[in-house]
Amino acid sequence: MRREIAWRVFADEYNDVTLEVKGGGEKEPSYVITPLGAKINRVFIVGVLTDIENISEEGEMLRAHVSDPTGVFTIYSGKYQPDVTKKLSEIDTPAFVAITGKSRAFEPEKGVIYVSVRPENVCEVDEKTRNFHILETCKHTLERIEAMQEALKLSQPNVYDLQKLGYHKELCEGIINAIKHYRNIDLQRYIDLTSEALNYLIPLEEELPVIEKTEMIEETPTVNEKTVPDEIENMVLEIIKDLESENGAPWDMIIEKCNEAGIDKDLAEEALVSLMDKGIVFEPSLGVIKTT
Amino acid sequence: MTSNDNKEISSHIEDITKALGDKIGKEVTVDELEKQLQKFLEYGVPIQQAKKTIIRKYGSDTSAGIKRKLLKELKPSESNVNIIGRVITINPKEIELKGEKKRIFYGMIADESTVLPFTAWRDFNIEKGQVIQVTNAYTKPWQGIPQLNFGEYTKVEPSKEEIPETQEIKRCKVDELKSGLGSVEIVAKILSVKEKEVDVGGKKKKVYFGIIADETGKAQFTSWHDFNLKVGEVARITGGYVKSWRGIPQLTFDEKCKVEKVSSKEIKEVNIKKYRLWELVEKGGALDVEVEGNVIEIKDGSGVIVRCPQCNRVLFDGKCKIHGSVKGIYDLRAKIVLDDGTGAVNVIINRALTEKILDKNLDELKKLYDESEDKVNDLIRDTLLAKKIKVVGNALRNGFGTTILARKIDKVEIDIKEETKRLLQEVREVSTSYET
Repeated sequence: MRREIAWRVFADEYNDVTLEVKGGGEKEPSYVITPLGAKINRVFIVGVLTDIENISEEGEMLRAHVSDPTGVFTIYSGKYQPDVTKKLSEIDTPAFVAITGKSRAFEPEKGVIYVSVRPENVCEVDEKTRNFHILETCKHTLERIEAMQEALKLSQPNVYDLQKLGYHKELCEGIINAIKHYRNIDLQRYIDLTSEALNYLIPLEEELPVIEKTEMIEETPTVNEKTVPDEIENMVLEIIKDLESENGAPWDMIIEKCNEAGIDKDLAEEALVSLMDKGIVFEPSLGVIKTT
Repeated sequence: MTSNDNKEISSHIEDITKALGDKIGKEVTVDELEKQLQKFLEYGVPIQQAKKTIIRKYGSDTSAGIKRKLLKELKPSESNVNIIGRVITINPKEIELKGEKKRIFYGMIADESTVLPFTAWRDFNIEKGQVIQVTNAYTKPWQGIPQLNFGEYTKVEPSKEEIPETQEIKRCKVDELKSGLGSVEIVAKILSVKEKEVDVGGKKKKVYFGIIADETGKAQFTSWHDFNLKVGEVARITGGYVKSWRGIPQLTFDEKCKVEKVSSKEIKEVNIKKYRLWELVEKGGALDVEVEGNVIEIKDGSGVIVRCPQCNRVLFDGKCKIHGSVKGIYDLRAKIVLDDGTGAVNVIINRALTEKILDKNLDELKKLYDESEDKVNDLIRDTLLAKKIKVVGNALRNGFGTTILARKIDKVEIDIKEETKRLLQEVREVSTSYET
């Protein structure tokens, strides 16, 4: 029996998943497939455990979040993995953690998928291990981007021809699945994401190698290049503080209040992203914002 | 019906008339045959089956009507396969099928085109060296090559026809050797050689076995003839075939093969070969590999263990499965899962290496163990879990996938700043290639 691979993937790519492939038989594994073709049944993630919350009255279901330079993984651990749940509950946040776990997908309505991770193993690690992991994940993400580029060059993308180029079978299968499901995969977005993750590792005072952009890219500035004035950010932050309860404030309500204050939706969302990047606020669960 | 169909039918009719021989005209006419065949086809019966049914009806040997295939022509998923071949090896094997014990046979069969592995699911009284005619066998894919299966409906009988022994010789590198390949030619260095006496059908016979290598990897060899191979020599071995032991390829050759010594300058043997884990898992096993990955699980059975002094089995509650209550011998090991994001293997770390990694000897660990079993395991977890390590050892395949018996373990350290810069450069290249 082949053991499922533990994929190295950033939270942003993982949370972009809208495709789940369910195993047919009793013992057939299920997978979630990312836009870059990672065919995930198991992941290995290292990041910052930001919060743990008990979401069941009996105290047997924990929800936790692990943050990496690109986004946040949602972790659910319950009574079926008592050792891990106990271990998780004993960690003081924030902490650097490594988690091996199974991918989980929840589809409340057709086309809407929330992905999370059910941990199999949790342990605390040091910052160096986390940084090392960011590099490893960049390497794997780049490999997927390259494999996707190669696959898209094929006249009829298929697993067999892609494997001949030296990529492993699981990746090739994932990529072909992804091409069929996701339309117009925005590779540039994942290239930028990798580059951001790498820049995160370089102390700010160091000179960064400039990534040359072609004219075409300059003409259509990406969202990330916009800057949000500090006063707007402060206004948004005040609005969040006004709204939030112990569990945070709903995203929609924040945007609404911002509108009333004369900040349009795009700018408000920009400000939220920027505040999250700075670690001033975080997203404890999907669509909910809380100050740190 | 198109003329094409007609043409096809008439070729099948020809096969049938050939098979029935002098029965045509006496027991059945060609017209009647054609009508019967058409009828079967209208009912959607596959042509081969229809032909066989008709031939059987008029009492002829079914195998004669169907053309034999060369082994080389076989695809990995074919049914109704008819071949003639010489049995090169055959071995019995006890298996459990749906809870019942069953004796099956596996081996290698060759014809003038190639050699293939086969499995006989019952006893066909096949003997080594025999040329057999096989009717209605089927193939399954196995490590990328077809494996022949002789099942419930397969007929195996001694062949009336002789087949030539000449086969096409395949030049291989050591890394390309995989179980089921036949007639290979390899140039490799002899790294070790030992002789052993074995019992073959009641007769004593000497075999020579050891390890060969070239620049692509290492493999085991078994020679059934004394070619006077010596350590350090480089030999060109022509006509051998490949079996495997726990996923490790084993080149087997005998007096029918050609072995000549060549200048040792022709070869530069690899010492240790690096693999990404998916490559190793796909290969099954290999000698002297080096792999890197993260420890993502510490398995049960790790830590301080107590073994039976007689059989070395691990004791449970102070009892051996075979020898009952015994005074056990303490030992230490770690069983881990190593994963590099492309594949996963088990790694077994022995006492000496575990002591080195934990920086504590067995006596110290035994004290911890006596306080609480968990303490040693926690120490192993804290030391190894999530860490990236490099492992050197032999990789074997078993029912649980691929397992490496570690001979050497090192932590993997990198210069994060340098690696970040290198990857930023790579991102730039990928980005440029994407834009153009």
